[in-house]
Amino acid sequence: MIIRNGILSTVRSKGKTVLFTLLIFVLTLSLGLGLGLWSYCSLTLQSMEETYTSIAVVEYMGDQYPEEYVADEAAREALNQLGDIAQVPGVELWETTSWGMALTDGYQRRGSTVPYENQLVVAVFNLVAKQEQVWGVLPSNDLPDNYLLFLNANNSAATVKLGSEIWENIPFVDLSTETVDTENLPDVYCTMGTRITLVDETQGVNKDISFLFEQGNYFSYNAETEELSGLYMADMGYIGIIGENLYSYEGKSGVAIQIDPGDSGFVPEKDGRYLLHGEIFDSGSSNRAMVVTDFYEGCEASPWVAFDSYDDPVLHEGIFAEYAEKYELGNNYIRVDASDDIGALEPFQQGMLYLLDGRFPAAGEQGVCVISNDIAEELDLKVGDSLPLSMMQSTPQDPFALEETGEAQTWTVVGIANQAEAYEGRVWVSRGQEFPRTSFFGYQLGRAVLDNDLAVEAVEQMEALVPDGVRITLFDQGYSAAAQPLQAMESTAQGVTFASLIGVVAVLFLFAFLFVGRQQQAVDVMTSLGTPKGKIRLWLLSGATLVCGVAVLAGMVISATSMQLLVQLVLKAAAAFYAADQRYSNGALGITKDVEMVHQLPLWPSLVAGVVVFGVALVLCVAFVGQAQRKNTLRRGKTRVRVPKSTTSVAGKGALRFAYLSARRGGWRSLVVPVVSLVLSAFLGFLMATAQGWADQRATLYENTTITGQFTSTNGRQYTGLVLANPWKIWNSGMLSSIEVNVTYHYWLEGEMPQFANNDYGADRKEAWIKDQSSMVFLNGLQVAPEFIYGEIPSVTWLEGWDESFLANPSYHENWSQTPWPCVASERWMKEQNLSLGDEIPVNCEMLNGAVPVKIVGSFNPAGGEDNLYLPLSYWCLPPWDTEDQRESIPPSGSFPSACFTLDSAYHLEAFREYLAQEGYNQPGSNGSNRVTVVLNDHIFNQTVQALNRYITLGQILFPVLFILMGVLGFVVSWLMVNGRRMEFAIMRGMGAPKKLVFGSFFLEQVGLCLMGSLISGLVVSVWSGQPMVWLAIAVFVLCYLAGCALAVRTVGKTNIFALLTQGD
Amino acid sequence: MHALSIQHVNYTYQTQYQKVEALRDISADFDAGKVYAIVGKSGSGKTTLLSLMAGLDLPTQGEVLCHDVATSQMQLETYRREKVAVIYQNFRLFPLLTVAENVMYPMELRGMSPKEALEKAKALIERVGLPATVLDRYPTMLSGGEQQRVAIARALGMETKIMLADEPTGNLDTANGENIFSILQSLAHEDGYCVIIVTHDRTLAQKADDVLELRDGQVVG
Repeated sequence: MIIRNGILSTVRSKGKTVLFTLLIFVLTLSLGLGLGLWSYCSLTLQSMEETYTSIAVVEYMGDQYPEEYVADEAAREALNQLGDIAQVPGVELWETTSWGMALTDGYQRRGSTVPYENQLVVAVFNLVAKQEQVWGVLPSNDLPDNYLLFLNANNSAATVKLGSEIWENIPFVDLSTETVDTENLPDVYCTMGTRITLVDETQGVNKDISFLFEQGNYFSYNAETEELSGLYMADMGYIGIIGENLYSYEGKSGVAIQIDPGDSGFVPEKDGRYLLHGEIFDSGSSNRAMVVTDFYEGCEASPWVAFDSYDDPVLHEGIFAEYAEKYELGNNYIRVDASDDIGALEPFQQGMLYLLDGRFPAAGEQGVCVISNDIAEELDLKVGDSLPLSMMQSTPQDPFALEETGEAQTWTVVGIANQAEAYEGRVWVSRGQEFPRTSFFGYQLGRAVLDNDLAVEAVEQMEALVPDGVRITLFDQGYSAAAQPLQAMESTAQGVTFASLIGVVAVLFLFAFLFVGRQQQAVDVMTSLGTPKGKIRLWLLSGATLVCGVAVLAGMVISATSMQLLVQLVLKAAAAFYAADQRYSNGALGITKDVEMVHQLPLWPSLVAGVVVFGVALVLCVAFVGQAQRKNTLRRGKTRVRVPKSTTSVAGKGALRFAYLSARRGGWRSLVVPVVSLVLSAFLGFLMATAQGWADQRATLYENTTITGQFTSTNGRQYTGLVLANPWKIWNSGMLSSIEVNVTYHYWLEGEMPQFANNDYGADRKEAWIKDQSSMVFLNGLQVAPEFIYGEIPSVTWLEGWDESFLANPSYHENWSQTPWPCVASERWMKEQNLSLGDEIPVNCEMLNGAVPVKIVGSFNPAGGEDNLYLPLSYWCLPPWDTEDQRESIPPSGSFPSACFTLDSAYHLEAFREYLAQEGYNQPGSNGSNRVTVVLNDHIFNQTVQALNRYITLGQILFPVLFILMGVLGFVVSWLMVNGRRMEFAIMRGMGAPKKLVFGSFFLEQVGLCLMGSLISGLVVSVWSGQPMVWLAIAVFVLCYLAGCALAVRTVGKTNIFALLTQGD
Repeated sequence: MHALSIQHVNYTYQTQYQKVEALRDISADFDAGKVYAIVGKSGSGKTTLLSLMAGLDLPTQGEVLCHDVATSQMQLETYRREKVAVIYQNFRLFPLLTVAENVMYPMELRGMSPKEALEKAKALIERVGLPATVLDRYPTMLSGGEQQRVAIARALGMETKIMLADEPTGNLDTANGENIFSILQSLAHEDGYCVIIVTHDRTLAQKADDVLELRDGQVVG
């Protein structure tokens, strides 16, 4: 009976019941959805955390980057200068590159990773000299009996010799042109048409001399060099048969081979047998061809030796045999990489390699390994089989100069990786596995495995720990871009959850107060009828818990059933709102994994939301039960009546007076609104201050950030050694403040170049020698210098009156012939050459005929191993803004090896990306139409902006919701405040008070109370945050609150005064 | 010219369940200087009739005339403010205003300054037999009889000559009830008020100058 009546008495106050049922339902729903979305995002992010691996590859950008097996002392020095990267927050594992060499019986390396593919040691016999007709500079000036000699470049004069007769310096006449005056031809001339004819009218000669062409007896004379060029029979070395192949990659014997003696002085005797060391080269014909070369530079042992028989010890002992063995061992090496997280090594992390079978060794696991599939196939190995290895030792300068260590190890194969180019003959073991390691080679110093969420910050901190010339590349498999919307959703869901919780507490407080706390009348009646306290409690709680329970249940059910739909909608919205545009970004290097979304949505958030809301309601109702029982009027009597502290007031007039008096004397009731306003407006003000802080931070970031970019290799990692036909084109975007390019030509000092043989091989060697020399780098800014493009520009010491701007000075273009050319040089090189600032030195450049003096106007401490000289770009070309002639923008070599640029404003980043996409520029890993790859150095900027955007957007979503909530709360609070005073409404109206006055009396009271709280919080929060925008939030809050309040007053004002005034209490 | 006249008044209202004919063809005249008692059993329509006379609503049919002007022709708000004063059984005082402020309220409604209204309120409080000490008290600090006197003082403050009282002694003991009635009586007889009291107290009704008895919404005597 008690429960039934309790429920009935509650539900019969329909308006209140419906209002609170709806409010509790909405709050349960929003709490459930908020929690659900939060948990969904957390689960997905957690799953992504397990799926994605972020690594930072630490590389030294040396001269020969990205060569893997080069011994670069600068790189080794950089390796020793690395700070304690392992201690950087977010670094889960830090490993320097560590590998060793091994051999195993039966494994023969194939493919492009063979180090000595062209080296060979062969025994040859049946050698014969070889001559071929070739076009080129004649080794001597001996001319045949009959010839045609062109005397100048445009073939306008010639000398013809026919046996003993000679016609010197006779003109060529082209009779096919109309300008020829046929009436006044010279006495002696040659005609050039389909046939060549010699005419000497003085001697009556008119001969067709085309046969000289047909026989190849025609030559050109270069007056400058005094050289004759033409066809001649040249010595082309020897042709022999390979009798025994001590070692060559191809391994064939009994086949013919063309032998170029090179600089070896090899001159075989007839029927001699020779053992040769050399290199295979492309002769341009189908024959195998080798050049005899020294075993190593400066080696005193001859690279060829004669022998009598194949039993001769020279074939089996000594340097020839040693080198044959060296090449054989080196070409069949197995590289053993050690890591405690093999799956996070770059080739595995980037998907080039993956496990075909088995697993990776665990960190520190001994005696087990993963092998590449080519080893597995050649040795017929499967997971579980054993791999016996002979551990080898390399020299510090050559990783492939292998020597036996005598150490043999047998490891159990626990995994087999796929076979990929450049990863053949590989074995991976845990770092704890003991085996001989090589010295450090190449440029990859190490690799850090990072916490996905802290990767960007970790890389930033790592950068502070590495020396100049070291670059750190983050490969996050697209984690940051994929996680961004989910993190944003998670933040939003957290916001909704907390806002819902605040709403839950606020609404349930009012609910409990109204449904339980204000039921003194019922308590009075029940108490007067002798109802036990427990039953009174039951009466009070039964109705409230029913209303709350129904609302909560509905909220739970709807939130559980609509979660899937909500997640889909929010995911779409989040993707639209937060999709990170990582096109062309240095943060989007490497592969991008697809996000594996969690499909099974948990039900617990709805359940928890229901339990929380119902629990809070129950607690508050129970609390108010006590209050209702304590405050019942039967107990209260008159002792509780307050004695006024002040006398009758005559202050104010009209509605304001009544509002003021009511507010002043309202007791606790007058405290509710200011306190609620204070708390809520402070909350909103704080949010606004924070949001404004984010917006300010974003604006500052945009203002203060300089976005740079560069042209790169297709993988986005190499900025030098490119072939850029026209990098200037990017200037047309109109969004750049500068483009810096360089033109690089090798140089050498007087007397440095050795003599090279006058043949193909000699030309190849000369070309190779020039390529090995340092460069004169012509550029319009030091940032694009090969030494600085990967890092910071070092401090430059300038000769007085000089600075970096001379590099971009266009005036050198016209005054190129004025020497000396100003340049910036490294202090090391200057020291070697005994030079100081302001000194001059002549240098030979591959693009110049002869030496040009250069003057050192700036010097720097070099990070790399090369001694480049830096000179103004305008010696070779001009940027488009300095010339109207497009042809002047391109250097004689036709391309630029590096180019970098700076955006005029970070605000143009998006538009610039669009421009790049429209123009078809490649992104790393994704080809565009114009085959030029561009990378923007915007990763950290993007990350920061995206994080700020996430917060700002969250604010933009949350604020309207919160303001609406404030309006609803204003309505509820005001309604509750005013509804209890309906009788006062009625009395006023009964006495004929105008509606406006009555409305004003109550509304102004709420305005005053609300403003009191809001102004205090506004002052506090604005002073604390220093953000004037706080007042906007406060103003909007007050407006929303008062809108709700006005609605409530108006609703209560519509009460039936007739009934109210005439009814009993 | 009657102070108040009701002519063929019908009042019907609709509840959730039924249509109620609260008053049926009631006519009566009320003059200044007299005390009228409207009696009847609970539900007879007497309070409804008083409410119509108080201008809280308009009759469904018929007219309520105040000095020969129908209330339907007036703004009820103005009518309530300027023509009639009502005293309710439960006093209907503002709980957060002091006694003086309660009495001052209708005066201020008419535009009187608070100071002037306070002076007048003091006189009115004295006139209804309350000591000046109650002026600064809240109504809840007073007894029922005192509160009813405050209500009468507030009605007097409205400066109308028609005073309606709905069970003015209903919540009072006999002595207090008689005191209140005598105040109302003196207002009619000495100050020329037209006092109309709704009561179910036959003893009180017998003291009135004229009695109107209602039964089931109709005048029976």
